[in-house]
Amino acid sequence: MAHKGTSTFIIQRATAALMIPLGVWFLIGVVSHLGANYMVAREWLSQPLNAILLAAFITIGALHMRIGMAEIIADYIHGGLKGVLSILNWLAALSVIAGVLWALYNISFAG
Amino acid sequence: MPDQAGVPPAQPAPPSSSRPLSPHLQIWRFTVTMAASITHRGTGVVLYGGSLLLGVWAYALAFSPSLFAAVSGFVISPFGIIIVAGYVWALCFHLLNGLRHLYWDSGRGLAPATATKTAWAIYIGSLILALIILYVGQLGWRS
Repeated sequence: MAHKGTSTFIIQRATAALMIPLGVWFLIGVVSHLGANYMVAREWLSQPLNAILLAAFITIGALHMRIGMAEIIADYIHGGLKGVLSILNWLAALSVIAGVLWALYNISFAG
Repeated sequence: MPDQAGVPPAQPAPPSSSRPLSPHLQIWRFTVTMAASITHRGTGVVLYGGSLLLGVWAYALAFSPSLFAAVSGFVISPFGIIIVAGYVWALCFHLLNGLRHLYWDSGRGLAPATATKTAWAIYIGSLILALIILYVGQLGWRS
């Protein structure tokens, strides 16, 4: 992972900037539908703009959170466990992206 | 005292319960900037967990009405409301303090007095923002 410091630094700032408007939208939109009933929530997320924004929120957010967690791992964990946790960190981020995109695809097109 | 050179002074060993911890926890005066830095990391970890829960929520919405009903029931339970409120505040804090970090990256706002003021502003602002969003969100739950 050598020679990646600058690009990681830039990606973390770029994703942070993108997460500002997406985070505001997410807080208002998704949080207000967390307790909503099934049909109301599905109808809301089947609107293309909401689906696209949630896809962007989770994709960009997962990339951002992976870098943040990698920083914490680098600060506190040494030795073999560091490699294991780094892989788990990647797996968690990619799983969230894949899972949410697959769910959104099904809500939008397979419903 | 040349005649005592090389002779360690007689000191009673401190009882083990009062031995000092690692200095960094003791000698640093509490500052709000230090607290904000720790809180930024802490809220980041909370949001990491929240993303995983969002995955469960989206999965349930797409594939499992019964799981979705269980998730919704948890969310509007007293314990669930505390979790959601904590998540909302964590996102508000991380978002506002992230703006502070981006401002720092421009080379501005780094003077201790300024950083202290902005740290307080972010603690207070994140609480206000979270309360507004939870209030608006609660209206959404009822619709």
